Amino acid sequence: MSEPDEDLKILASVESAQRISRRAFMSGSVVAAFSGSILLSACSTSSPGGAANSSGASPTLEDQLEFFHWAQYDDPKLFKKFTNELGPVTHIDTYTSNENAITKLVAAQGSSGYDIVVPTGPYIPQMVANNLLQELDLSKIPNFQNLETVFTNQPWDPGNAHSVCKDWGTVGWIVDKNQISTPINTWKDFINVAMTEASGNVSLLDAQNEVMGVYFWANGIDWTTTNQADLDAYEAWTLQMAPHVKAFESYPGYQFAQLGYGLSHVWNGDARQGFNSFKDPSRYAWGIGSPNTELWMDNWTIVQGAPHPEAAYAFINFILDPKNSLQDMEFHGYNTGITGLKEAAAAAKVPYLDMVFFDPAQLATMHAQEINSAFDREVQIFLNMKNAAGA
Amino acid sequence: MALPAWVWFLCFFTLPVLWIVYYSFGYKPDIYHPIATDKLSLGSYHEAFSRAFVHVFSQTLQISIIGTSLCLLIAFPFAYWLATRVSPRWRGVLLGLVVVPFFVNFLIRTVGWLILLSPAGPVSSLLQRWGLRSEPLHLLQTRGAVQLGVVYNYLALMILPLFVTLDRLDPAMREASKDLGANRVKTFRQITLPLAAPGIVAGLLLVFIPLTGDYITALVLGGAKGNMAGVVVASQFTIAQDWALGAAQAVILIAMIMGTVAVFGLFAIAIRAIVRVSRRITLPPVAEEAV
Amino acid sequence: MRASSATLPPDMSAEGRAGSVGAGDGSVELVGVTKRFGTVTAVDAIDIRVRPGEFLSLLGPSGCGKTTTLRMLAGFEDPDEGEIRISGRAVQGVPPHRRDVNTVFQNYALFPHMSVSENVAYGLRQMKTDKTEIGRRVGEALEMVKMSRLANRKPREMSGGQQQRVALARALVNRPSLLLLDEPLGALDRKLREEMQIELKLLQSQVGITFIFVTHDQDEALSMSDRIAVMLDGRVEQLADPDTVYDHPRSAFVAGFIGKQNFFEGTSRDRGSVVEGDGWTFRSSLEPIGAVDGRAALAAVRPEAVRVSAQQPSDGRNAISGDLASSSHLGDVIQFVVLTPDRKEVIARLPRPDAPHLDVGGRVWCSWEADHTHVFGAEQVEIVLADPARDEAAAIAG
Repeated sequence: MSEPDEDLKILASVESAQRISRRAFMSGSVVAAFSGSILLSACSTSSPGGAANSSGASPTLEDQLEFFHWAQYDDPKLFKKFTNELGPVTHIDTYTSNENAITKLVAAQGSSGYDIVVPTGPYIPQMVANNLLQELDLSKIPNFQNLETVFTNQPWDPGNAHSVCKDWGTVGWIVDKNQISTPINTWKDFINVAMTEASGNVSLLDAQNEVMGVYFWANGIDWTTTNQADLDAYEAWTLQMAPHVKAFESYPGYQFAQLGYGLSHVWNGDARQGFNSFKDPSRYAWGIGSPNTELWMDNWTIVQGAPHPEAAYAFINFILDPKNSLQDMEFHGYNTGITGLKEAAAAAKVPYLDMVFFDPAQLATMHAQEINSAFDREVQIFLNMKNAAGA
Repeated sequence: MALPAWVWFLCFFTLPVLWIVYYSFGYKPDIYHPIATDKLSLGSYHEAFSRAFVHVFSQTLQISIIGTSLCLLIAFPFAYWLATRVSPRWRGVLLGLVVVPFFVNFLIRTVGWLILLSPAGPVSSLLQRWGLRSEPLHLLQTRGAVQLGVVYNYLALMILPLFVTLDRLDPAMREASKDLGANRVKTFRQITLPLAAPGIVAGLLLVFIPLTGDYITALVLGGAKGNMAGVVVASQFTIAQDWALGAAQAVILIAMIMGTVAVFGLFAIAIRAIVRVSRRITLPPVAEEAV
Repeated sequence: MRASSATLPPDMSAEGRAGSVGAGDGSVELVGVTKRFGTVTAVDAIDIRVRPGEFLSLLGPSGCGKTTTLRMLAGFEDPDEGEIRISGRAVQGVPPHRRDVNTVFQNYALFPHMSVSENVAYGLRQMKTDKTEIGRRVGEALEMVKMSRLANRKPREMSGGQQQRVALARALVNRPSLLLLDEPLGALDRKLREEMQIELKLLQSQVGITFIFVTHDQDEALSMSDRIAVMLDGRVEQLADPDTVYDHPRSAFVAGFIGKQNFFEGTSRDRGSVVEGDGWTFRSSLEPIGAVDGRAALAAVRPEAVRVSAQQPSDGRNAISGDLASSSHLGDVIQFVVLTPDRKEVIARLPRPDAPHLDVGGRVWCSWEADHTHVFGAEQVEIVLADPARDEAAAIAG
């Protein structure tokens, strides 16, 4: 269990603590009602040819750029900056789950009008198979070379043919030490405490992948299993766990203290938001999953049939610029995989960097999910767990 | 040229519902396609009934019946007071205040309660400050919070039709009743209540139907314990992307709403019949009357 | 309990409504009764005594306090001052449902969800009357108002006149000692209204119940009442039988409100026996009311007392000349409108055989006897000339 750096917590600004991290603060499709679409840049439209063009040989940029994106996932100032520097006016429609986004793209059959979509890694192979994504011309993204090689050439997209790392993270927990005295070091501890000391005051992520991970990691099973016996055991466990759960909450971080949870299952970036907001951070502890845990990566991709491909390339290149990337990281709290980002962040005295950057030993315990034949069953097991929790 | 009413009805009501019914017999072929209907079966219904969400449905029915009853119990005295005791000028102001929350998005209104009810929020703090509680009050993410939330969100839909009927009710009706020897309670039971019945029925339907299908209130205030059927159905469409199962659950929800309305409707009709029979007067035969 | 019921407040003295106040003789006394709504005094210290079995009308323009008075009798309002006694017992604090009083409401207030017979039975049911007894009495009451055949109709399926009869039956079936009628004929057309006036009066003499009848229609009041209380601004201007009110109005308002009246504004002379105006002098042999010599006064004469002739009358009658503006048939009388030089209208009504043939536009003389001339003092002038209610009343009377 790692304690947040005491020196850094004073640097946490209230403003950044209130910010909403990855995928907005509320789960489910409610977000759609909330955000719908947000026009981020109202800058006067420059003529396509008049825009400054940083990617050398590429043709003229279109004057617009359409995102299909998670809500509140990038610093809005960066979109403005992009428009100011390069011209295209950005417009964002939001989705709330990968499945949700993919269904819409499938239904549109290349006429969605979106340029950039940001899927999580394991979803990419089937999206490619369904011809939803364009093959990338990496020569149009010179800043691609800024990425650490460890975050390129991922198993779901060899050679980055269709995607470029946006950011990545992992999953763990926050504990209120005033409520919970048992130390939690592993997922097994997490489950034990959740079913005993923290029972009725636990939040689990409102995401089937991560909940499934808790069980498989705690029991030393590969979480990409398709073994029916494993899935049956998982299903039985969800029904055991369900009554102890107070809420399925995707972003418990900054509400953790306010809602008075004892133990929350949480993504690292959101946990960091929580620590930025706590009045007394020493009361709380953050833990990263062990012995194994997740590595998820969200990726920039260009939609098949994108009406503004050149602007899309320009944006991806723009966001991979180390300065812009640092600014974005400060907003969402996830590692963007840019070489030297950690040092730059430390130099900028960004707080709680141990919740953003992980050493190679930790990294070795993190594993990506894969979408396989068990997927639909896993989703239904999870939804049924939620139903059982209310019974 | 005006279209016949049935065309309107067909387009805006029947067709969407029939579509949902049709989908409920389909299946989810793979993760990228939410629905296929090349093979039709009752599989989704079987799946729907075999799962824990039957619990959620019965909990939803409880929440909506209790919530609708609470709305009626709160709204009736208020609407009665507003229609009979308040001067027309203040009536407008108060009705305005009832309607004001509707200017705010449903979700935002509900999020307001998130702040009010949180353990660190004003309700909990006040109770602690007054020494009524020693620890923070955990109201959020309980069924009680959902119950409170739905009453708040749907109360105005009960108040408005009740107010309209009670306002239209000639005060002379009540006076005539008292004049004929009925006290306030009897007057209420024999005159005010039956004459307000259309407003009560309208209010009950206006509240019960959307409340039963509501998912935002439960999603925001409910946590794991305050789940409602609307959330379950919505998550099949948005998270699992299994439109067949979602449609089957939606059909079950619709059937549950219609069934409940039918049961209460028959109950109300039976009561009315009993009242009418007990009120009936048998006149002695009259000799042929001169005109 | 040794305390006799007479010493208890009326509403405590008995269980049921029948025994609470009622079974009395139906006499009514209002003593110094005042009712205020905010700063407005609706009823201002009125005194009225109604004899058992009497038909009393409260007559006056809207806002005169007649309906408020009725509502205080029914128990819907409580007086701020004074005392109300029904059948000799004070009724302050007795709620409407415990008073031995029933009301026929202005728009009948029939219960729309009940049939005619259920409406009529309502009062009896509240008294827990035996079911066959209810049936018998409802049958009688409907027969009395000739509505037996519509017993199963709903109120909305009936005409105004039929609803009116049901409302009457609904009130009378309870055999109250006092029946209050709040403009019950106001919504009926003229012919039906006149028929109902006769029927109502007949009914009242049959049942022998005290009727208090509120109306703004002076014809209605004159044709039915034993006595009329003419009200203005919360006060009773005159309480007397129809003849007295008509022939001997106690105020200019009463004079103008009851029937048609020609008013002439002038100056009082000779202790009110002469009123002198611009170009005319009228003498009166009647007792002047409130006239002070040298100050403004009104001379009043009824149209039917005025004669119209082409020649100036020479017999010392009060007379004034003018141009004949119109002559019109009003059934069995002819009405002449004469315009005096100062643009004042004088109206004369003569039975057809007595009416002279005169050319419209020609110069004519209007004349009348001194003993048909009423004189009212200055403070009355303002009421008559400024009060719009008088115009309303005149319009109704016309």
